[in-house]
Amino acid sequence: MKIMIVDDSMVIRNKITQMLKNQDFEIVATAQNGLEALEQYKQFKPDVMTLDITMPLMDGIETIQAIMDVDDSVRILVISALVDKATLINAMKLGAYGFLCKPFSDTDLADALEELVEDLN
Amino acid sequence: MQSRGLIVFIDAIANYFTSTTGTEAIVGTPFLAKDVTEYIEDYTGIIGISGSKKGSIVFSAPSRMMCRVVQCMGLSSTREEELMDLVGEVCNTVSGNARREFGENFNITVPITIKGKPENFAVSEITNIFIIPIEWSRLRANLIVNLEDS
Repeated sequence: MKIMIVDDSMVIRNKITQMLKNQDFEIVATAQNGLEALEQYKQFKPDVMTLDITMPLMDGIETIQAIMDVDDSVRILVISALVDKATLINAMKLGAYGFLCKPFSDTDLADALEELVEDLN
Repeated sequence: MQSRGLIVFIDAIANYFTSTTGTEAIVGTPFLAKDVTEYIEDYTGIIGISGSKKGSIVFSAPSRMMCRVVQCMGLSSTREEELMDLVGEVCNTVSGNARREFGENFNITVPITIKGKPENFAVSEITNIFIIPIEWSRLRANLIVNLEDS
């Protein structure tokens, strides 16, 4: 299954990449803001995305909208420190499939991704 | 900002270390400071706050602490670039988690990060600047909370 990782933090991108090494995901792209993510999405068409919200140039909420306009089949797991209900509801309404709060452990991420793809396998 | 509003930041920074490293941090009693320069360590992340509150959240930590956190995350590279990024990410996470208390109108910027100890580090002219000391792995960092109602 193809996955793309979007976060403005290099350490978070590296941590997710490291964690996915032993799982059934092929990391096809990483991006550090929404604009990069949109370009990479069009090129690599991942099945799944992890997506931060607070990013420069284009934030995660705008990115969900832009990607859903291109293809609404991708499953987006929002991974964000913004824990208020309004952000969560807004992201889900726009098309996000799951939400994981930062900070997260390896187990938290594995469980969230498993839930995200459980009916795709 | 009153001291009772600090609980969300104390919980957030404690949770950060536990979730990310698997080892608990000891969060000390917050205290007021006028000059924050002496609480600035090797790497500092700064988040600007607007909306329902205004001011900034600052996390400052020594290089050795950031190296150890990166290693606890299972990452081998501890270049300066990674340490700068991490200190910003800690600050972003703690600030974002504060929305649990302050709601969606607690707006946060993307982090600015700096290396080293400037001679004068001024956060703003807001009167109440709280220092929250953090001890983790026998190393000391500081969370600086500098907020007032808009």
